Amino acid sequence: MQIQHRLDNRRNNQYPVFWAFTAAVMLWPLLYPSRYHLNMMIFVGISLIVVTGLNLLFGYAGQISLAHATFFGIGAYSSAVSCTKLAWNPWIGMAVGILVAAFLALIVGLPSLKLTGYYLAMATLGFGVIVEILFIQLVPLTGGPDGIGGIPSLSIFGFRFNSDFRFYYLVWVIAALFCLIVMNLVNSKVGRNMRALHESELAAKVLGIDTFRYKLKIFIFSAVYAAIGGSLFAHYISHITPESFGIMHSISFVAMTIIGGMGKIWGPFLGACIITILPEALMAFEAFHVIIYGGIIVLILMFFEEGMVGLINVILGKVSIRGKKWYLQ
Amino acid sequence: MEGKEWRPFSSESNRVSKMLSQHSQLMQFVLSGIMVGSIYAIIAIGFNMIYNATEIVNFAQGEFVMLGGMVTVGLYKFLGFPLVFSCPLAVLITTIIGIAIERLTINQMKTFSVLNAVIITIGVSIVIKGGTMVSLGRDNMSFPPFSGDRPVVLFGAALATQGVWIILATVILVILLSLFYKHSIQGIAMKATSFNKTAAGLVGINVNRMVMSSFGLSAACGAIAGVIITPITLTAYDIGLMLGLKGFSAAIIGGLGNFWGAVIGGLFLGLCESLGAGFVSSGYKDAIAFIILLGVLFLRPTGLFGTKPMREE
Amino acid sequence: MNDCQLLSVSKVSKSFGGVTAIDKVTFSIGLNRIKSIIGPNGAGKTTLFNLISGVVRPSRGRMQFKGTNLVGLSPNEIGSLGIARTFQNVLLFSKMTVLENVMVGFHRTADYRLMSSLFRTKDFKAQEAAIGTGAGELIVLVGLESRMNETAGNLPYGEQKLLEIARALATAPALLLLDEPAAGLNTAEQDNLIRLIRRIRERNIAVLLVEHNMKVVMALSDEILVLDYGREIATGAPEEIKANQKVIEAYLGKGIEFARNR
Repeated sequence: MQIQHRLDNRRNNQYPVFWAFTAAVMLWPLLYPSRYHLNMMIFVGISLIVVTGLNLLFGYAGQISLAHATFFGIGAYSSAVSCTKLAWNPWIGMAVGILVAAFLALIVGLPSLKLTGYYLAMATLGFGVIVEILFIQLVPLTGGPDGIGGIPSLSIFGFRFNSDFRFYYLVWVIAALFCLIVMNLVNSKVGRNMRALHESELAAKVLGIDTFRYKLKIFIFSAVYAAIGGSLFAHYISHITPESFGIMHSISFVAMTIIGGMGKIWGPFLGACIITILPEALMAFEAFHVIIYGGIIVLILMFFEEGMVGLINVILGKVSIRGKKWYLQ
Repeated sequence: MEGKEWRPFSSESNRVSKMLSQHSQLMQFVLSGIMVGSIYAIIAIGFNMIYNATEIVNFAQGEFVMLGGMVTVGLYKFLGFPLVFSCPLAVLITTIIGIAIERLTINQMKTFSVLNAVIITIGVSIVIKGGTMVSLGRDNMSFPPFSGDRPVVLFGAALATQGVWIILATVILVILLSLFYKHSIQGIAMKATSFNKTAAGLVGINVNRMVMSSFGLSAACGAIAGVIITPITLTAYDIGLMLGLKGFSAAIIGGLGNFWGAVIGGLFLGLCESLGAGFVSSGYKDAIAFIILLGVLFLRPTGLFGTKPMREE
Repeated sequence: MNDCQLLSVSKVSKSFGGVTAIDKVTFSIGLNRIKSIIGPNGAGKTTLFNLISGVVRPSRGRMQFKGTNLVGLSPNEIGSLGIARTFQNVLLFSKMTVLENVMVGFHRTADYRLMSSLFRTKDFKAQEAAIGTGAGELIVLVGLESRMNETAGNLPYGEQKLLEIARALATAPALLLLDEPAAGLNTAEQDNLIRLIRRIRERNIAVLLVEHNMKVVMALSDEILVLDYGREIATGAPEEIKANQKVIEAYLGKGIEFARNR
């Protein structure tokens, strides 16, 4: 009985924070109802869905994927094609996107994850560029460089999400739900096994954990999250072009993950915010905004090993700013 | 992805090649493949240098190539310096930038981790790209080839004279570097550092300086590649990404960290791309390099010459 | 091959490139027995453990555990069969707590499906509680009760080794491979370890021990196998091994320690 009590204590710390945060997010549009703010936070929310999955992959499987914008694009194009060319229900389109993304993730992950090292990163790099080119070249299917337009809005039982206000809530309810799913997963046997696998793969293996299957499942799971984000994206902006799904965007998602840091709730959110909002905020500097944006990425990671989560920890006084200087690492 | 079109032929040699036979067409593709492959090889060598010294994959490698060409254009067109002066100066400037990157960012990291350093190189590449765009604009630019425009006929195919320069420069660079690694104290020290940093430090090698040198040398190589290729393919502020990715793929194909692997990998990639482009539409051409990358990763992940066996821990 | 034996290793060899690490080693261990493998450094003892636990594949030979062939199985398959091990350089999950480390070992006892963990069903909670209780019991067994919620990485070395043993026991093994459990332990800790291993034997778990510490070896072993340069040079009861000429010669460099323990 005593042991049980102590276990619950540790786990329960995260949930109140999560609910408080969700409440704040739900109240936000009442404070800032302008189209501009809603629009920006919708993009943050969509990115958050992708980065939550990517954070799981990186934080627990210790792998990097350079193809998450690609899975994002697969979700987007599946929704777009099913709605405009096949006149299917949008939710079916999303389901198709999920299946295709999962299948491709399986194919890419199967050979790459058997090996230790960053092979998944390299394989997803190749995969990402190839699919990016396919998005541009397969004109009958994807509309080529012009993309696909006229994607209808989502609706549930006739209630249409055709305004920024409504879509905001759709995105953030889904984002919160997905975050909750990940948190519940992490605080379970699966999560423990994943953390174990991350700390010492060999030790986990001899305890009977099939680390390869875990890594593969996490990869597929994160690809599915990205695909769902992509579908939402397509329905929101209603016209998609291949430009949004290239290698640079995959790299952005990875940057969001790492800059955000590996905290379960804050990390993906901070990362998504920084990478989504910062370029907007810097627009005032016109052409220089790109330089400043890159500079900020560099500076954050130079001084905070844990990225934004590290910065928050320093601000909260939890950790001193002095880290380890490298030499002979 | 809207990369610049890779145009291996100047208008002159295009006309000439149309007059040649099918067999010569094949030879044409082979020559242009070797030419393009040389560039990939140099970029791949650059990746290996930094990877060997630090285990960092330098995402700004492609930007070094871009800088080589763009800075030359800046000096030549915007500042009016003579070409023979602009080219080496551009390489020197890029080298200094490479060293500055290491000194000002990687070396200053409070707590070093390879992953964070890689993302930092991504940030750096964004800064470099942005800086170039701001100062030199977005247009495609170029400067005249080193020794004129008239194509050379080789094995029944036409090669722009600049192409000869490219292949020549690559051969010389490869020979110099291999001699450097084998016979010079600095080169041997760099090799030692790549095998075991701790041991290298213990025998008195300044590991910190090795890391800095690897960035400088890598930038120099990239810049040289950028300079020699510009008269043929033009340059612009955003050519870095695709070049970097392909060069990286070449390095992986040859075995990440392996010098000769990079050379062979680059040439192999260039040839496949050139020959493949002859048979598929130009839109798919860029995909060829990455299809080969995937093939190699799935069949022989350590690359053609790679050393690390990865299955067990 | 003797069917009464839990584990049979038969003429197993392993070469790494040109180096033969293990050369035609043959031995077996039965239920409830404690067997030690000793030998000078570099004799191949850890390699032998790596072979049995599947980390490394033998070049030649056969291995059987409870009638199942072990050669070619992956480490996690072997772990699931009932063989558990610890590592020479303690591989703990440093950022997790002591309790959590041991709970990982229990992962196979919980069979709640994904949906249960997502929705926190009663079944989920019950199984988690059971794991927690089981883990707690093992932590008490090894004597780390006071450290239950400490981060594993913060523990002193001796306690880390005990934690690793508790974690290995969580998989309910029939055979436990201990790789130098006494290394770095002071006298009191060594005595504690000896008592612990005896308690483990009482739970019907066979123990295969790689050790340098002769006091521990002599106190616990039913049988000792001596390796030198990957080859078996002697095998038998502790008294026989002590007097064995070949063994003494192999240890000539370590003669002082061996002599002291006579």
